[in-house]
Amino acid sequence: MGQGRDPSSAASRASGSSASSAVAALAVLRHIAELAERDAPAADRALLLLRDGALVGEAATRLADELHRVAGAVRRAFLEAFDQVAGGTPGTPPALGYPPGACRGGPGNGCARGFVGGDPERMRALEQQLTSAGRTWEDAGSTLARLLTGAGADPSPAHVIGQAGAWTAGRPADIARRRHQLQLQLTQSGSAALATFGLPPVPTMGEAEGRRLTSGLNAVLDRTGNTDPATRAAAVRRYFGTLTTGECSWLATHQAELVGNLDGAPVTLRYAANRLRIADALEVEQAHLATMMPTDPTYQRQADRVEALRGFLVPHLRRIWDPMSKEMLEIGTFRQFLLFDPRGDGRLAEVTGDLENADDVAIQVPGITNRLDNFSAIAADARQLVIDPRTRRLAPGAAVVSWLGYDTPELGDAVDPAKALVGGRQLAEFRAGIGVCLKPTAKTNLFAHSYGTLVSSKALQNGAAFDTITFMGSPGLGSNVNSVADFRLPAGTKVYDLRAPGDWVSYTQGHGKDPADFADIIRLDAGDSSGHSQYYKLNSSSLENLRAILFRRPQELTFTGTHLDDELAGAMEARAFIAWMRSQVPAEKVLKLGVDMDPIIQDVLAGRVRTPAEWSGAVQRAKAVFTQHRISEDVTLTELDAELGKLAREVAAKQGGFLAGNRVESAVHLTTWLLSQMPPEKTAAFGVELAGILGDKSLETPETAIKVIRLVNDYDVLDHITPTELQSGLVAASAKRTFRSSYEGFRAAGLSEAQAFAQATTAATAAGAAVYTTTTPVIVALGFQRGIDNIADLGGIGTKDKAK
Amino acid sequence: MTAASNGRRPVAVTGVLMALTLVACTPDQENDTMTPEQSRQKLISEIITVIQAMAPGARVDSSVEDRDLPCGGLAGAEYTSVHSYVVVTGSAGIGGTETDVMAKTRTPLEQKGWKITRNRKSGETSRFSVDKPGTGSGVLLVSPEDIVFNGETLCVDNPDR
Repeated sequence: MGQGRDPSSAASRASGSSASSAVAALAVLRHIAELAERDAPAADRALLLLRDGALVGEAATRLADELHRVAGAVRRAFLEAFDQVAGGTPGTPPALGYPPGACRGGPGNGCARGFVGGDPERMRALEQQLTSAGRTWEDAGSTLARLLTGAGADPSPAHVIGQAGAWTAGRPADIARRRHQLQLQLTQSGSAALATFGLPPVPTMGEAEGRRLTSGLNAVLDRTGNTDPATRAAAVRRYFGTLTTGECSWLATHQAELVGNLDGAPVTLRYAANRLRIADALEVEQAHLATMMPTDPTYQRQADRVEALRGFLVPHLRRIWDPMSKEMLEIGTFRQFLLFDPRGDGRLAEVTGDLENADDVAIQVPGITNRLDNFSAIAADARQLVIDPRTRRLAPGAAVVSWLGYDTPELGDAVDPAKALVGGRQLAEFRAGIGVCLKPTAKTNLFAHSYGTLVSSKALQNGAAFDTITFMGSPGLGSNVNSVADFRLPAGTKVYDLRAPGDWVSYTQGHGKDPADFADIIRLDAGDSSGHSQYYKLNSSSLENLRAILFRRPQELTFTGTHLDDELAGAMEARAFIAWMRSQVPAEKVLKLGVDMDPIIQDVLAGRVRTPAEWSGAVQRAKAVFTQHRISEDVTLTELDAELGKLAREVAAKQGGFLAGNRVESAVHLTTWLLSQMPPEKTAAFGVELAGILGDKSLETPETAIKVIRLVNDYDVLDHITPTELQSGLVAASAKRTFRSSYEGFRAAGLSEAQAFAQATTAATAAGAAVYTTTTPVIVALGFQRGIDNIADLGGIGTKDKAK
Repeated sequence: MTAASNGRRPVAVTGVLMALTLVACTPDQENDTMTPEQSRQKLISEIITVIQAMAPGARVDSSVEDRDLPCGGLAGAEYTSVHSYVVVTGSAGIGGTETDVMAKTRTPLEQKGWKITRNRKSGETSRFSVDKPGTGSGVLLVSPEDIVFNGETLCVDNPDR
């Protein structure tokens, strides 16, 4: 601590009751209070890390207890030091509060137990926090000792704090040792991988014996190479049935590449084999990451892959509620992978639950943009399906397979069915292969989402068999599937559909008719989800319905018969607009366009496009893509204007009546008119700023008008249109809008077409005149400004004030 | 001055970006002012208050079960936005008739701004689907022995992306 600020020499009590000694005592008190408030909470962050599971198990509980006690002792020592010096001197004691509990409910009271482990990253953070806290307290102890001694007080509280610092600084070594152990476990031996899934260790076995096992398995695969997946899987299963458990363990660890993804092999052997393969992949991917620069555009995704792989090897920690002891108990569940292939975006299948003994099995098939690096989202959805919400335990008798066994499209190629054709075959093979590992009476349920519904459709057409099939947020099941009957499924197969309000993918019908519109499908309620990605939302009717299907509780299913318009205003029109666009632009062009638009779309959706300049940049990039693919040959401004105007009018009219519809349509026409006059990128930036200025204000407000004038000036709008043209555009838009609304109003009131036309023409003329009058001051000012600019340009004088 | 009003310019881009703007404003991304940690703490602390009001004296515990799951992008699978699952438990519950449970649950929830979107009873446990704009959503399970909340934070911007 800064010696220069130490006022202890001035705080001597020997000076008696003089005013200077009172001032000095107050200075010491203030110093102690500052020191206490700054340094007493030094270990709080470490306590919070412990609470967040940085380290769990008995050691964590002990450390949390001790650290909590030490942190409390440090606080008390500071207060004691303050009280000593304060004596009768008035002063504000430091406000220190209490150290946070490392477990809610207090240390030792329901803390983690039963599992020893942790999170390596958070363990490292915990080490740093403890080191830092230890040093802080050691320093604070020294400073406080000087202050107390100088003030003639007992320095023992300072010693308490110093000792607390020394103790705390000594903890990280133990945690580091545990972290290294944990990391070693992550890149573990074959025996540890086997033990993870209750398998016996590999027995001592000669080379010849190993060759015999391998060649035996290869012979089975060769013999069944041309048979169907189910027959092959059954043969593999029979082969493993002839082996001892030790021999099985040998194959899982010595032929992990072969066994990991081998249908028919006992699932626990596959889990162990894939655990080893994941550990290997982690090493490779970590090494690759180490060679990358953080500025590399793919760096983040690679870092996510590494993080995901590490997560696959660490048990998923869950705190379960024990109603008997009324305590939270922490348990860790090892991740179980039936399929692992890190190539490309990665292919995976994870099992949640006891697959081979489950009565009810669900296979989840996700859609676009799901990859190895973001697999945690699908895995979490699976847990929500099978974890009992009250006990937090896995529901007995049920298992979920999160199957990401195909190469999912990104946004750009989502319109291409090619990956679904391949994925459909892969899913059908997986279903057939896994069948031999399930109980013969197990009921299988297919839960498909998004593009995964198209994959599932192809799988069903390839003969994949399920007891129930549920489609969620489907873009269509292929042009050849327009009803459930088209699948020719076995009698008794239930087929459900969930469509959430605002699920834009359902509106696209990009791959055929929306199954929600099939006459013979069972529609289930998803009314309290919204958009495309909330079908597993915790409090949703959608998740409840999925659980009711999985757990065979048909009485709990909730149904719906809504139409698009019941679900979300404008949905029908949006679907019609998309259909129109698809009718205009050839499919192959859409595919290429989508691929190139993908990064721009991602930027917009990620919120990276916010400012007018960023919007301008995005529009410029989009314009380049549209130009490259010659979209203007398919869709013109006039056509787009008409369609967007129609869409806007119909949506607004449904919500606010025909006047509102006409108003919105006029706004669209005005926008496209502006676009026809200026480069799109400039219009975009101008529009963003103009909307910010106008809001719900009127042009007649002088301040607003002035801001608009400056904006028009800043964007050089007058380089593209004259003030008079701008005014004409505004007048024309208003007149057109008024004519349409008036005409329809007069017709509705019973006037003949001719009468309505005459009256509407009068009204439109009046409206145009009103707009003309209202905007004239702005337009005159713009004209004046333009004149000044022209003069300035001639004279080389820069008069434009670009600053807003 | 230009006035190529009817040229076949690539202005379809406008329609696409308009649609994107609409999509980008979905409720999933309604809250970009909280950090992920703040979103968790907010949900947990608000539910703790509710449980303490429902069962005074109950020992309340909480944990974050899955943190920072991806929920960004058009398909809700990117790390540009994240959300978390949390569990909050109370060591005392509410017994009595269904009406009693409903009354003792509804009032504290609604007083704190929570909306019950659906409820049903299964055996001794009453299940309430709840939601609070700007805070999160989840399922509150109320039994005579305990109260358990399974919740989901808002999908918030990931400050690291």
